[in-house]
Amino acid sequence: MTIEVAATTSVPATTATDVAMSVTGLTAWYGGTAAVRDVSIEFAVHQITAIIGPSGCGKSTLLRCLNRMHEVVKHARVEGQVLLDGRDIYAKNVDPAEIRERVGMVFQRPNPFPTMSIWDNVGVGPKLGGAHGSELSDISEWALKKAGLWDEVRDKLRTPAISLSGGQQQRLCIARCIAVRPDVILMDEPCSALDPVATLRIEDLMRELAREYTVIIVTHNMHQAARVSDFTAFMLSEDGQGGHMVEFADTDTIFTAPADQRTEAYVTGRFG
Amino acid sequence: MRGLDPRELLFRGFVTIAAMAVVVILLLMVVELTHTAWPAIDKFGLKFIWSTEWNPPKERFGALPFIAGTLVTSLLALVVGTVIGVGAALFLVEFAPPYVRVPVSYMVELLAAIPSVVYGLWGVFVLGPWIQKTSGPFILDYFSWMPFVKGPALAVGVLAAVLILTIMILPTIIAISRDVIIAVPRSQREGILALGATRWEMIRIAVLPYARSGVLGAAILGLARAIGETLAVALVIGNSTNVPDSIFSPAYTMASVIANQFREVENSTHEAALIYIGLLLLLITLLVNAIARALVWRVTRGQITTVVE
Repeated sequence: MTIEVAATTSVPATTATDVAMSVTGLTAWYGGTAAVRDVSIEFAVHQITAIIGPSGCGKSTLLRCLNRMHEVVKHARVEGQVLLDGRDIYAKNVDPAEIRERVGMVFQRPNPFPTMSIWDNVGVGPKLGGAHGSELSDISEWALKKAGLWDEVRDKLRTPAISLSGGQQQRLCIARCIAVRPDVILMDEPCSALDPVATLRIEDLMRELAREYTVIIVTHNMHQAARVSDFTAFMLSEDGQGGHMVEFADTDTIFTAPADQRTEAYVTGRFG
Repeated sequence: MRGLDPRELLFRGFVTIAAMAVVVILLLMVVELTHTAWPAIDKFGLKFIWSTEWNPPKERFGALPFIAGTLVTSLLALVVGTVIGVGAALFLVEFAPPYVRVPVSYMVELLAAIPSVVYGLWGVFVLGPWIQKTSGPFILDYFSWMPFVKGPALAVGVLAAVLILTIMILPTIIAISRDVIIAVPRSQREGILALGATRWEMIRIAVLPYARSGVLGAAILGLARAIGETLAVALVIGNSTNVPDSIFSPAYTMASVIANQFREVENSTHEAALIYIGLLLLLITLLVNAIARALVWRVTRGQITTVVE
Protein backbone atom coordinates (compact mmCIF):
# COMPACT_ATOMS: atom_id res chain seq x y z
CA MET A 1 0.00 0.00 0.00
CA THR A 2 2.72 2.40 1.02
CA ILE A 3 4.85 1.61 -1.99
CA GLU A 4 1.93 1.94 -4.35
CA VAL A 5 1.08 5.40 -3.10
CA ALA A 6 4.68 6.52 -3.29
CA ALA A 7 5.18 5.01 -6.72
CA THR A 8 2.07 6.50 -8.29
CA THR A 9 2.41 9.92 -6.72
CA SER A 10 6.04 10.33 -7.64
CA VAL A 11 5.10 10.27 -11.32
CA PRO A 12 4.70 14.05 -11.64
CA ALA A 13 8.22 14.60 -10.36
CA THR A 14 9.80 12.25 -12.87
CA THR A 15 7.83 13.44 -15.84
CA ALA A 16 8.05 17.15 -15.14
CA THR A 17 11.75 17.45 -14.30
CA ASP A 18 14.95 15.50 -13.86
CA VAL A 19 15.54 13.56 -10.67
CA ALA A 20 18.35 14.64 -8.34
CA MET A 21 17.94 11.92 -5.75
CA SER A 22 15.76 8.89 -5.69
CA VAL A 23 14.97 6.67 -2.74
CA THR A 24 13.68 3.11 -3.10
CA GLY A 25 12.43 0.88 -0.32
CA LEU A 26 14.37 2.70 2.39
CA THR A 27 14.12 1.40 5.93
CA ALA A 28 16.24 3.07 8.63
CA TRP A 29 16.90 1.50 12.00
CA TYR A 30 18.09 2.69 15.39
CA GLY A 31 19.17 -0.59 16.96
CA GLY A 32 16.11 -2.83 16.71
CA THR A 33 13.62 -0.02 16.07
CA ALA A 34 12.75 1.11 12.59
CA ALA A 35 12.30 4.90 12.41
CA VAL A 36 11.55 4.88 8.70
CA ARG A 37 9.90 1.94 6.98
CA ASP A 38 9.95 1.15 3.29
CA VAL A 39 9.93 4.69 1.91
CA SER A 40 10.27 5.43 -1.78
CA ILE A 41 10.42 8.97 -3.13
CA GLU A 42 12.11 11.01 -5.83
CA PHE A 43 13.48 14.52 -5.43
CA ALA A 44 13.30 16.76 -8.49
CA VAL A 45 16.28 18.82 -9.60
CA HIS A 46 16.21 22.51 -8.60
CA GLN A 47 12.92 22.17 -6.79
CA ILE A 48 12.07 22.43 -3.13
CA THR A 49 10.61 19.28 -1.67
CA ALA A 50 9.14 19.52 1.82
CA ILE A 51 8.76 16.50 4.08
CA ILE A 52 6.04 17.07 6.65
CA GLY A 53 4.45 14.99 9.36
CA PRO A 54 3.88 14.91 13.10
CA SER A 55 6.74 14.43 15.58
CA GLY A 56 8.28 10.98 15.46
CA CYS A 57 7.14 10.21 11.92
CA GLY A 58 10.72 9.64 10.80
CA LYS A 59 11.03 12.68 8.55
CA SER A 60 14.34 13.82 10.03
CA THR A 61 15.69 10.28 9.89
CA LEU A 62 14.73 10.02 6.21
CA LEU A 63 16.58 13.29 5.58
CA ARG A 64 19.66 12.06 7.44
CA CYS A 65 19.74 8.97 5.24
CA LEU A 66 20.19 11.17 2.18
CA ASN A 67 23.74 12.29 3.13
CA ARG A 68 24.66 9.20 5.15
CA MET A 69 24.43 11.15 8.39
CA HIS A 70 22.08 8.55 9.87
CA GLU A 71 24.91 6.07 10.29
CA VAL A 72 26.89 8.48 12.50
CA VAL A 73 24.58 7.53 15.37
CA LYS A 74 25.59 4.33 17.16
CA HIS A 75 23.74 1.17 16.13
CA ALA A 76 22.00 2.98 13.29
CA ARG A 77 21.67 1.21 9.94
CA VAL A 78 19.91 1.56 6.63
CA GLU A 79 18.31 -0.84 4.14
CA GLY A 80 17.20 0.07 0.66
CA GLN A 81 18.59 2.21 -2.09
CA VAL A 82 19.38 5.91 -2.36
CA LEU A 83 20.54 7.14 -5.74
CA LEU A 84 22.35 10.44 -6.28
CA ASP A 85 22.54 11.17 -10.00
CA GLY A 86 21.83 7.50 -10.58
CA ARG A 87 24.64 6.30 -8.28
CA ASP A 88 23.91 4.33 -5.12
CA ILE A 89 25.33 6.32 -2.21
CA TYR A 90 25.26 3.22 0.00
CA ALA A 91 27.34 1.13 -2.39
CA LYS A 92 30.38 -0.51 -0.81
CA ASN A 93 33.11 1.61 -2.37
CA VAL A 94 31.46 4.97 -1.69
CA ASP A 95 33.13 7.33 0.78
CA PRO A 96 30.48 8.99 2.97
CA ALA A 97 32.62 12.16 3.20
CA GLU A 98 32.38 12.53 -0.57
CA ILE A 99 28.58 12.12 -0.47
CA ARG A 100 28.36 14.80 2.22
CA GLU A 101 30.31 17.22 0.07
CA ARG A 102 27.71 16.81 -2.65
CA VAL A 103 24.69 16.69 -0.34
CA GLY A 104 25.01 19.53 2.14
CA MET A 105 23.04 19.83 5.36
CA VAL A 106 21.65 22.64 7.49
CA PHE A 107 20.62 21.67 10.99
CA GLN A 108 17.73 22.39 13.31
CA ARG A 109 19.71 24.73 15.50
CA PRO A 110 22.42 26.97 14.07
CA ASN A 111 25.70 25.19 14.80
CA PRO A 112 28.56 27.49 13.80
CA PHE A 113 31.94 26.50 15.21
CA PRO A 114 32.21 28.69 18.31
CA THR A 115 36.01 28.89 18.34
CA MET A 116 36.12 30.22 14.78
CA SER A 117 35.46 33.64 13.29
CA ILE A 118 32.61 34.26 10.84
CA TRP A 119 35.12 34.12 8.00
CA ASP A 120 36.72 30.86 9.12
CA ASN A 121 33.33 29.23 9.57
CA VAL A 122 32.48 29.82 5.91
CA GLY A 123 35.92 28.76 4.74
CA VAL A 124 36.22 25.56 6.72
CA GLY A 125 34.47 23.36 4.13
CA PRO A 126 36.37 24.61 1.05
CA LYS A 127 39.59 24.32 3.06
CA LEU A 128 38.84 20.65 3.67
CA GLY A 129 38.53 20.31 -0.08
CA GLY A 130 41.98 21.86 -0.55
CA ALA A 131 41.05 25.46 -1.40
CA HIS A 132 43.44 28.16 -0.19
CA GLY A 133 44.59 31.71 -0.88
CA SER A 134 42.48 33.84 -3.17
CA GLU A 135 40.42 30.86 -4.29
CA LEU A 136 39.36 30.30 -0.70
CA SER A 137 38.51 33.93 -0.04
CA ASP A 138 36.59 34.19 -3.33
CA ILE A 139 34.47 31.16 -2.44
CA SER A 140 33.87 32.43 1.09
CA GLU A 141 32.80 35.87 -0.09
CA TRP A 142 30.60 34.34 -2.79
CA ALA A 143 28.92 32.03 -0.28
CA LEU A 144 28.27 34.84 2.20
CA LYS A 145 26.73 36.93 -0.57
CA LYS A 146 24.67 34.00 -1.76
CA ALA A 147 23.35 33.49 1.77
CA GLY A 148 22.41 37.17 1.97
CA LEU A 149 24.77 37.75 4.88
CA TRP A 150 27.64 39.64 3.26
CA ASP A 151 26.35 43.16 3.84
CA GLU A 152 25.71 42.44 7.50
CA VAL A 153 29.07 40.88 8.30
CA ARG A 154 31.58 42.37 5.83
CA ASP A 155 32.96 44.72 8.47
CA LYS A 156 33.31 42.08 11.19
CA LEU A 157 34.45 38.96 9.41
CA ARG A 158 37.06 38.30 12.09
CA THR A 159 34.67 38.37 15.02
CA PRO A 160 33.50 35.09 16.57
CA ALA A 161 30.62 33.50 14.68
CA ILE A 162 28.58 33.16 17.83
CA SER A 163 28.43 36.93 18.25
CA LEU A 164 25.80 36.89 15.48
CA SER A 165 22.08 36.64 16.13
CA GLY A 166 20.34 33.28 15.78
CA GLY A 167 18.97 34.09 12.34
CA GLN A 168 22.34 35.36 11.14
CA GLN A 169 24.00 32.25 12.53
CA GLN A 170 21.62 30.05 10.57
CA ARG A 171 22.33 32.00 7.37
CA LEU A 172 26.03 31.62 8.16
CA CYS A 173 25.47 27.86 8.39
CA ILE A 174 23.74 27.99 5.00
CA ALA A 175 26.72 29.94 3.61
CA ARG A 176 29.06 27.35 5.13
CA CYS A 177 27.02 24.62 3.46
CA ILE A 178 26.94 26.13 -0.05
CA ALA A 179 30.63 27.08 0.12
CA VAL A 180 31.31 23.38 -0.43
CA ARG A 181 29.33 23.66 -3.71
CA PRO A 182 26.87 20.83 -3.11
CA ASP A 183 24.23 19.72 -5.61
CA VAL A 184 21.60 19.08 -2.97
CA ILE A 185 20.90 20.99 0.25
CA LEU A 186 19.13 19.19 3.09
CA MET A 187 17.47 21.34 5.72
CA ASP A 188 16.31 19.78 8.96
CA GLU A 189 13.68 22.15 10.44
CA PRO A 190 16.05 25.05 9.79
CA CYS A 191 13.76 27.69 11.29
CA SER A 192 12.55 25.93 14.41
CA ALA A 193 14.91 27.92 16.64
CA LEU A 194 14.28 31.28 14.93
CA ASP A 195 11.84 34.15 15.32
CA PRO A 196 9.27 34.90 12.55
CA VAL A 197 11.31 37.65 10.88
CA ALA A 198 14.44 35.51 10.71
CA THR A 199 12.26 32.62 9.50
CA LEU A 200 10.94 34.67 6.58
CA ARG A 201 14.47 35.64 5.56
CA ILE A 202 15.51 31.99 5.51
CA GLU A 203 12.43 31.08 3.48
CA ASP A 204 13.24 33.77 0.91
CA LEU A 205 16.75 32.40 0.81
CA MET A 206 15.44 28.90 0.13
CA ARG A 207 13.51 30.12 -2.92
CA GLU A 208 16.65 31.87 -4.06
CA LEU A 209 18.77 28.75 -3.58
CA ALA A 210 16.29 26.53 -5.42
CA ARG A 211 17.29 28.19 -8.68
CA GLU A 212 20.63 26.42 -8.52
CA TYR A 213 20.23 23.70 -5.95
CA THR A 214 17.90 20.86 -5.17
CA VAL A 215 16.49 21.68 -1.75
CA ILE A 216 14.92 19.13 0.57
CA ILE A 217 13.45 20.51 3.76
CA VAL A 218 11.98 18.79 6.78
CA THR A 219 9.51 20.95 8.64
CA HIS A 220 6.89 20.58 11.32
CA ASN A 221 5.41 23.85 10.10
CA MET A 222 2.76 23.16 7.44
CA HIS A 223 2.50 26.81 6.52
CA GLN A 224 6.18 26.88 5.79
CA ALA A 225 5.87 23.83 3.55
CA ALA A 226 2.93 25.46 1.75
CA ARG A 227 4.82 28.77 1.35
CA VAL A 228 8.14 27.54 0.04
CA SER A 229 7.94 24.06 -1.45
CA ASP A 230 7.15 22.77 -4.92
CA PHE A 231 6.50 19.21 -3.77
CA THR A 232 5.34 17.91 -0.44
CA ALA A 233 5.66 14.48 1.10
CA PHE A 234 3.53 13.54 4.07
CA MET A 235 4.88 10.90 6.46
CA LEU A 236 3.18 9.17 9.34
CA SER A 237 4.08 6.55 11.92
CA GLU A 238 0.81 4.83 12.69
CA ASP A 239 1.59 1.50 14.27
CA GLY A 240 4.83 2.29 16.06
CA GLN A 241 6.78 0.43 13.37
CA GLY A 242 8.46 3.42 11.79
CA GLY A 243 7.26 6.24 9.62
CA HIS A 244 6.06 5.57 6.11
CA MET A 245 5.12 7.77 3.19
CA VAL A 246 1.38 8.45 3.15
CA GLU A 247 1.28 10.76 0.18
CA PHE A 248 3.66 12.58 -2.11
CA ALA A 249 2.53 15.12 -4.70
CA ASP A 250 2.99 18.69 -5.76
CA THR A 251 2.42 21.07 -2.89
CA ASP A 252 -0.85 22.51 -4.24
CA THR A 253 -2.39 19.07 -4.44
CA ILE A 254 -1.32 18.10 -0.94
CA PHE A 255 -2.76 21.23 0.61
CA THR A 256 -5.90 21.66 -1.53
CA ALA A 257 -6.92 18.25 -2.82
CA PRO A 258 -5.04 15.48 -1.02
CA ALA A 259 -5.85 11.96 -2.12
CA ASP A 260 -5.52 10.42 1.31
CA GLN A 261 -7.85 11.20 4.21
CA ARG A 262 -4.99 11.14 6.71
CA THR A 263 -3.17 13.81 4.71
CA GLU A 264 -6.26 15.93 4.66
CA ALA A 265 -6.75 15.50 8.39
CA TYR A 266 -3.15 16.55 9.01
CA VAL A 267 -2.99 19.56 6.70
CA THR A 268 -6.30 20.89 7.98
CA GLY A 269 -4.92 20.70 11.49
CA ARG A 270 -7.07 17.91 12.86
CA PHE A 271 -4.08 16.11 14.38
CA GLY A 272 -0.33 16.34 14.68
CA MET B 1 10.41 36.09 56.60
CA ARG B 2 12.65 33.14 55.72
CA GLY B 3 15.70 35.26 56.41
CA LEU B 4 14.66 35.45 60.04
CA ASP B 5 14.46 31.69 60.49
CA PRO B 6 17.15 30.89 63.10
CA ARG B 7 18.13 27.71 61.26
CA GLU B 8 18.67 29.80 58.17
CA LEU B 9 20.92 32.19 60.08
CA LEU B 10 22.80 29.27 61.63
CA PHE B 11 23.37 27.70 58.26
CA ARG B 12 24.49 30.95 56.70
CA GLY B 13 26.84 31.53 59.59
CA PHE B 14 28.31 28.06 59.22
CA VAL B 15 28.98 28.28 55.48
CA THR B 16 30.40 31.78 55.84
CA ILE B 17 32.83 30.62 58.50
CA ALA B 18 33.77 27.60 56.40
CA ALA B 19 34.54 29.84 53.43
CA MET B 20 36.48 32.33 55.49
CA ALA B 21 38.45 29.55 57.16
CA VAL B 22 39.97 28.56 53.81
CA VAL B 23 41.20 32.10 53.24
CA VAL B 24 42.47 32.44 56.78
CA ILE B 25 44.33 29.12 56.64
CA LEU B 26 46.08 30.12 53.42
CA LEU B 27 47.06 33.51 54.84
CA LEU B 28 48.24 31.95 58.09
CA MET B 29 50.37 29.50 56.13
CA VAL B 30 52.07 32.30 54.23
CA VAL B 31 52.59 34.32 57.41
CA GLU B 32 53.90 31.38 59.41
CA LEU B 33 56.19 30.17 56.63
CA THR B 34 57.58 33.65 56.17
CA HIS B 35 58.08 33.99 59.90
CA THR B 36 59.94 30.70 60.38
CA ALA B 37 61.93 31.15 57.16
CA TRP B 38 62.91 34.65 58.19
CA PRO B 39 66.52 33.89 59.24
CA ALA B 40 67.17 32.56 55.71
CA ILE B 41 65.18 35.30 53.99
CA ASP B 42 67.07 37.88 56.01
CA LYS B 43 70.44 36.32 55.27
CA PHE B 44 70.12 35.42 51.56
CA GLY B 45 67.33 37.69 50.33
CA LEU B 46 66.09 37.15 46.76
CA LYS B 47 69.56 35.92 45.75
CA PHE B 48 68.42 32.63 47.30
CA ILE B 49 66.31 32.03 44.18
CA TRP B 50 69.15 32.04 41.67
CA SER B 51 72.03 30.92 43.84
CA THR B 52 73.15 27.35 43.08
CA GLU B 53 75.20 26.57 46.15
CA TRP B 54 73.67 24.24 48.75
CA ASN B 55 76.17 23.69 51.53
CA PRO B 56 74.64 23.00 54.96
CA PRO B 57 77.95 22.76 56.94
CA LYS B 58 79.08 26.15 55.62
CA GLU B 59 75.54 27.54 55.98
CA ARG B 60 75.45 28.69 52.37
CA PHE B 61 72.15 28.04 50.66
CA GLY B 62 70.63 28.67 47.23
CA ALA B 63 67.42 27.18 45.82
CA LEU B 64 68.06 27.19 42.08
CA PRO B 65 68.87 23.44 41.77
CA PHE B 66 65.54 22.60 43.41
CA ILE B 67 63.51 25.19 41.53
CA ALA B 68 65.08 24.01 38.27
CA GLY B 69 64.48 20.35 39.16
CA THR B 70 60.83 20.98 40.02
CA LEU B 71 60.11 23.06 36.92
CA VAL B 72 61.99 20.81 34.49
CA THR B 73 60.50 17.54 35.72
CA SER B 74 56.93 18.79 36.05
CA LEU B 75 56.87 20.72 32.78
CA LEU B 76 58.33 17.80 30.82
CA ALA B 77 55.87 15.44 32.51
CA LEU B 78 53.10 17.89 31.62
CA VAL B 79 54.04 17.90 27.93
CA VAL B 80 54.42 14.12 27.64
CA GLY B 81 51.39 13.48 29.84
CA THR B 82 49.15 15.85 27.90
CA VAL B 83 50.07 14.39 24.52
CA ILE B 84 49.53 10.81 25.68
CA GLY B 85 46.56 11.64 27.91
CA VAL B 86 44.57 13.57 25.31
CA GLY B 87 45.40 10.89 22.75
CA ALA B 88 44.14 8.19 25.08
CA ALA B 89 40.99 10.19 25.85
CA LEU B 90 40.31 10.67 22.12
CA PHE B 91 40.75 6.95 21.54
CA LEU B 92 38.37 6.10 24.38
CA VAL B 93 35.66 8.52 23.20
CA GLU B 94 35.95 8.41 19.43
CA PHE B 95 37.27 4.99 18.51
CA ALA B 96 37.06 2.42 21.29
CA PRO B 97 34.09 0.03 21.29
CA PRO B 98 32.28 -0.19 24.64
CA TYR B 99 33.95 -3.50 25.59
CA VAL B 100 37.30 -1.71 25.42
CA ARG B 101 36.25 1.70 26.71
CA VAL B 102 34.65 0.53 29.95
CA PRO B 103 37.50 -1.65 31.29
CA VAL B 104 40.19 0.79 30.13
CA SER B 105 38.41 3.74 31.77
CA TYR B 106 38.15 1.71 34.94
CA MET B 107 41.85 0.86 34.91
CA VAL B 108 42.77 4.49 34.28
CA GLU B 109 40.86 5.43 37.42
CA LEU B 110 42.62 2.63 39.30
CA LEU B 111 45.97 4.21 38.34
CA ALA B 112 44.95 7.29 40.29
CA ALA B 113 44.34 5.23 43.42
CA ILE B 114 47.84 3.73 43.60
CA PRO B 115 49.82 5.31 46.49
CA SER B 116 52.76 7.36 45.29
CA VAL B 117 55.27 5.31 47.29
CA VAL B 118 54.31 2.30 45.16
CA TYR B 119 55.06 4.30 42.03
CA GLY B 120 58.38 5.27 43.64
CA LEU B 121 59.32 1.66 44.40
CA TRP B 122 58.36 0.61 40.90
CA GLY B 123 60.55 3.43 39.66
CA VAL B 124 63.49 2.20 41.72
CA PHE B 125 63.22 -1.48 40.85
CA VAL B 126 61.84 -1.49 37.31
CA LEU B 127 62.00 1.89 35.60
CA GLY B 128 65.49 2.83 36.85
CA PRO B 129 67.24 -0.35 35.66
CA TRP B 130 65.36 -0.11 32.36
CA ILE B 131 66.67 3.41 31.79
CA GLN B 132 70.18 2.39 32.82
CA LYS B 133 70.42 -0.76 30.70
CA THR B 134 68.01 -0.38 27.81
CA SER B 135 66.47 2.97 26.93
CA GLY B 136 69.31 5.15 28.24
CA PRO B 137 72.07 3.65 26.04
CA PHE B 138 69.70 3.68 23.06
CA ILE B 139 68.91 7.38 23.54
CA LEU B 140 72.60 8.18 23.98
CA ASP B 141 73.47 6.28 20.80
CA TYR B 142 71.02 8.07 18.58
CA PHE B 143 70.07 11.38 20.19
CA SER B 144 73.23 12.65 21.87
CA TRP B 145 73.38 15.42 19.25
CA MET B 146 70.39 17.00 20.98
CA PRO B 147 70.87 19.53 23.78
CA PHE B 148 70.53 18.17 27.31
CA VAL B 149 71.17 14.62 26.16
CA LYS B 150 74.47 13.36 27.51
CA GLY B 151 75.63 10.43 29.56
CA PRO B 152 76.15 8.44 31.51
CA ALA B 153 72.68 6.92 31.76
CA LEU B 154 72.02 6.43 35.44
CA ALA B 155 69.15 4.54 37.03
CA VAL B 156 68.06 7.67 38.87
CA GLY B 157 67.72 11.17 37.47
CA VAL B 158 65.55 13.65 35.65
CA LEU B 159 64.27 11.16 33.05
CA ALA B 160 63.15 8.64 35.67
CA ALA B 161 61.36 11.39 37.58
CA VAL B 162 59.69 12.70 34.42
CA LEU B 163 58.43 9.24 33.45
CA ILE B 164 57.13 8.51 36.95
CA LEU B 165 55.40 11.90 37.09
CA THR B 166 53.94 11.37 33.62
CA ILE B 167 52.39 8.07 34.67
CA MET B 168 51.11 9.64 37.88
CA ILE B 169 49.38 12.58 36.18
CA LEU B 170 47.97 10.54 33.29
CA PRO B 171 44.80 9.39 35.10
CA THR B 172 43.86 13.00 35.86
CA ILE B 173 44.48 14.18 32.32
CA ILE B 174 42.77 11.20 30.69
CA ALA B 175 39.69 11.28 32.93
CA ILE B 176 39.06 15.02 32.58
CA SER B 177 39.88 15.15 28.86
CA ARG B 178 37.57 12.20 28.27
CA ASP B 179 34.73 14.00 30.03
CA VAL B 180 35.19 17.26 28.13
CA ILE B 181 35.55 15.44 24.80
CA ILE B 182 32.36 13.48 25.44
CA ALA B 183 30.66 16.79 26.24
CA VAL B 184 31.33 18.24 22.77
CA PRO B 185 27.80 18.48 21.33
CA ARG B 186 26.72 16.14 18.57
CA SER B 187 25.69 19.17 16.52
CA GLN B 188 29.34 20.26 16.37
CA ARG B 189 30.55 16.86 15.19
CA GLU B 190 27.75 16.53 12.64
CA GLY B 191 28.27 20.13 11.51
CA ILE B 192 31.78 19.36 10.30
CA LEU B 193 30.94 15.86 9.03
CA ALA B 194 28.19 17.41 6.89
CA LEU B 195 30.90 19.42 5.11
CA GLY B 196 32.68 16.25 4.05
CA ALA B 197 35.16 15.92 6.93
CA THR B 198 36.77 12.62 7.83
CA ARG B 199 36.88 11.36 11.40
CA TRP B 200 40.35 12.81 11.98
CA GLU B 201 39.33 16.16 10.47
CA MET B 202 36.29 16.17 12.73
CA ILE B 203 38.53 15.69 15.79
CA ARG B 204 41.03 18.31 14.67
CA ILE B 205 38.58 21.00 13.55
CA ALA B 206 35.48 20.56 15.67
CA VAL B 207 36.19 18.40 18.73
CA LEU B 208 39.56 19.56 20.07
CA PRO B 209 38.98 23.32 19.58
CA TYR B 210 35.61 23.05 21.28
CA ALA B 211 37.11 21.10 24.18
CA ARG B 212 40.30 23.12 24.46
CA SER B 213 39.56 25.02 27.66
CA GLY B 214 38.63 21.79 29.42
CA VAL B 215 41.72 20.01 28.10
CA LEU B 216 43.81 22.95 29.29
CA GLY B 217 42.18 22.63 32.71
CA ALA B 218 43.03 18.92 32.73
CA ALA B 219 46.67 19.66 31.90
CA ILE B 220 46.88 22.25 34.68
CA LEU B 221 45.48 19.89 37.30
CA GLY B 222 48.12 17.41 36.14
CA LEU B 223 50.82 20.06 36.45
CA ALA B 224 49.70 20.92 39.97
CA ARG B 225 49.99 17.29 40.95
CA ALA B 226 53.42 16.99 39.34
CA ILE B 227 54.79 20.08 41.10
CA GLY B 228 53.64 18.89 44.50
CA GLU B 229 54.55 15.21 44.16
CA THR B 230 57.16 14.39 46.79
CA LEU B 231 57.80 10.79 47.70
CA ALA B 232 57.90 9.03 44.34
CA VAL B 233 60.16 11.72 42.95
CA ALA B 234 62.45 11.62 45.98
CA LEU B 235 62.99 7.89 45.34
CA VAL B 236 63.94 8.16 41.67
CA ILE B 237 65.42 11.60 41.00
CA GLY B 238 68.86 10.90 42.47
CA ASN B 239 68.97 13.63 45.12
CA SER B 240 71.77 15.75 43.73
CA THR B 241 72.00 19.41 44.64
CA ASN B 242 73.41 20.39 41.25
CA VAL B 243 71.39 22.09 38.55
CA PRO B 244 70.69 19.28 36.02
CA ASP B 245 72.34 19.68 32.60
CA SER B 246 71.12 16.44 31.01
CA ILE B 247 67.95 14.32 31.06
CA PHE B 248 70.06 11.65 32.79
CA SER B 249 71.44 13.96 35.52
CA PRO B 250 70.50 13.23 39.10
CA ALA B 251 68.64 16.22 40.48
CA TYR B 252 66.33 17.30 43.25
CA THR B 253 62.92 18.90 43.47
CA MET B 254 61.70 21.44 46.01
CA ALA B 255 59.24 19.05 47.58
CA SER B 256 61.66 16.12 47.75
CA VAL B 257 64.53 18.09 49.30
CA ILE B 258 62.25 19.26 52.08
CA ALA B 259 61.05 15.72 52.72
CA ASN B 260 64.57 14.26 52.68
CA GLN B 261 66.48 16.82 54.71
CA PHE B 262 63.99 18.24 57.17
CA ARG B 263 64.43 15.57 59.84
CA GLU B 264 68.20 15.83 59.84
CA VAL B 265 68.86 19.54 59.62
CA GLU B 266 72.40 20.47 60.52
CA ASN B 267 71.77 23.97 61.86
CA SER B 268 69.02 26.56 62.23
CA THR B 269 69.94 28.28 58.96
CA HIS B 270 69.53 24.95 57.16
CA GLU B 271 66.07 24.60 58.66
CA ALA B 272 65.11 28.17 57.73
CA ALA B 273 66.42 27.61 54.17
CA LEU B 274 64.23 24.51 53.78
CA ILE B 275 61.20 26.46 54.97
CA TYR B 276 62.14 29.24 52.57
CA ILE B 277 62.00 26.62 49.79
CA GLY B 278 58.59 25.59 51.09
CA LEU B 279 57.42 29.18 50.87
CA LEU B 280 58.73 29.45 47.30
CA LEU B 281 56.99 26.18 46.41
CA LEU B 282 53.73 27.60 47.72
CA LEU B 283 54.23 30.78 45.70
CA ILE B 284 55.07 28.83 42.53
CA THR B 285 51.91 26.75 42.99
CA LEU B 286 49.85 29.91 43.38
CA LEU B 287 51.57 31.42 40.34
CA VAL B 288 50.89 28.33 38.21
CA ASN B 289 47.25 28.50 39.20
CA ALA B 290 47.06 32.19 38.34
CA ILE B 291 48.68 31.60 34.93
CA ALA B 292 46.34 28.69 34.36
CA ARG B 293 43.30 30.80 35.09
CA ALA B 294 44.56 33.53 32.81
CA LEU B 295 45.14 30.99 30.04
CA VAL B 296 41.70 29.45 30.39
CA TRP B 297 40.21 32.93 30.41
CA ARG B 298 42.13 33.93 27.29
CA VAL B 299 41.12 30.77 25.45
CA THR B 300 37.46 31.07 26.32
CA ARG B 301 37.21 34.83 26.03
CA GLY B 302 34.27 36.02 23.99
CA GLN B 303 32.83 32.54 23.90
CA ILE B 304 29.69 31.23 25.41
CA THR B 305 28.93 27.56 25.59
CA THR B 306 25.43 27.81 24.18
CA VAL B 307 25.51 28.59 20.52
CA VAL B 308 22.05 30.08 20.21
CA GLU B 309 20.97 32.85 22.53
